[in-house]
Amino acid sequence: MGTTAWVPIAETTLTSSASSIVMSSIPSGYKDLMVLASGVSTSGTQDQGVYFNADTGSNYNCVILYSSPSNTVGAATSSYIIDYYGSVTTDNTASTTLQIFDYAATDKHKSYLARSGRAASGTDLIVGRWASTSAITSITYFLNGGTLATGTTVALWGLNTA
Amino acid sequence: MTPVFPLSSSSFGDYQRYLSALAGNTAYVPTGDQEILITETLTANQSSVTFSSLDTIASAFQNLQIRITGRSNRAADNSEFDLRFNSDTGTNYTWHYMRSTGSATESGGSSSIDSVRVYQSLTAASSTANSFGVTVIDILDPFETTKNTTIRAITGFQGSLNRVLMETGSWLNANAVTSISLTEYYGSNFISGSTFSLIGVK
Repeated sequence: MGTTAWVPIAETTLTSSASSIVMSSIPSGYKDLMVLASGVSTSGTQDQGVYFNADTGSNYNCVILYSSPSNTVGAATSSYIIDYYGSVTTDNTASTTLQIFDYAATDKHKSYLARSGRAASGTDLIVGRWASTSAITSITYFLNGGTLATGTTVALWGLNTA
Repeated sequence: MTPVFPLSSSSFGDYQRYLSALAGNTAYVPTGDQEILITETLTANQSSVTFSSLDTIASAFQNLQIRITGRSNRAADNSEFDLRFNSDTGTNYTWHYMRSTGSATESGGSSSIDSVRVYQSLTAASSTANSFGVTVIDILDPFETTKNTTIRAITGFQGSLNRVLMETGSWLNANAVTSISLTEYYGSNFISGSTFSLIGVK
């Protein structure tokens, strides 16, 4: 019998609005991490973001391939965002998958792939990098300038090693 | 395994009573729909990585996934690698991509070529220090013998150069896949510390 690839580490569903969801004390024994987010905002359309290890400095960059309802565009930004047109709104129609590679390695910056989409807006593929060789021990999920609404769900999974 | 008899039976004389419904058996723990088959971290520079004996270790799965955190020692700001099945170096592959350079979108690809090139998937020697490319490759129905084998990939890196890509590819051969090789495209190496995982998907 083999080893299950992905195993759940934590899951949070908000029962009241919050400025962020923090997944802390992440164990170091996995190969990769995956965050599954169904974000809802209390007001308007907001981009989702993540901080690692509570680092709010200018250490995040990403490159974006996105499709809006009318065109396909490439962009890059010095930002912690994990969506572009697949941003969240009040109607709970956005979904995001964030894959973080070699999150516990101390010889690499942390690179991640994000897939996000909202049918009425667009879909995104993003590669990002956190310019730190520290092992990731916490992830803060938030909205860029907004508030997470009741019903927002974030799940954290870990990839086992063989 | 100790036999379990209904307690209403009076036709047996030697029995053991269990308080657990498992009756002495080990509990079945489902492993889920995905299993991790191989995890490899390079301890030295290496020009290629091969997953072999897949007909033995992976044929119970319908699909496979390869996950890579990779960097090349090529003297450039990016690199890529070839993906081949069953050591086939014939011109039996096609691939196509769509990418963002950070400021524009572009597309391209090739057919009747000797590999699926997983394009611009690796950082390289002059890339930002400690930056690595990241790649997820899904290999669909690799053990079906009525279909050519197809792949889809998402990949890219962020650093002194920006790339993010979606890619598809195919191996125009309906043989069951027994091995997958990943070879640095320019004859350089995957550097030490690059990691490779193989997942079976039911």
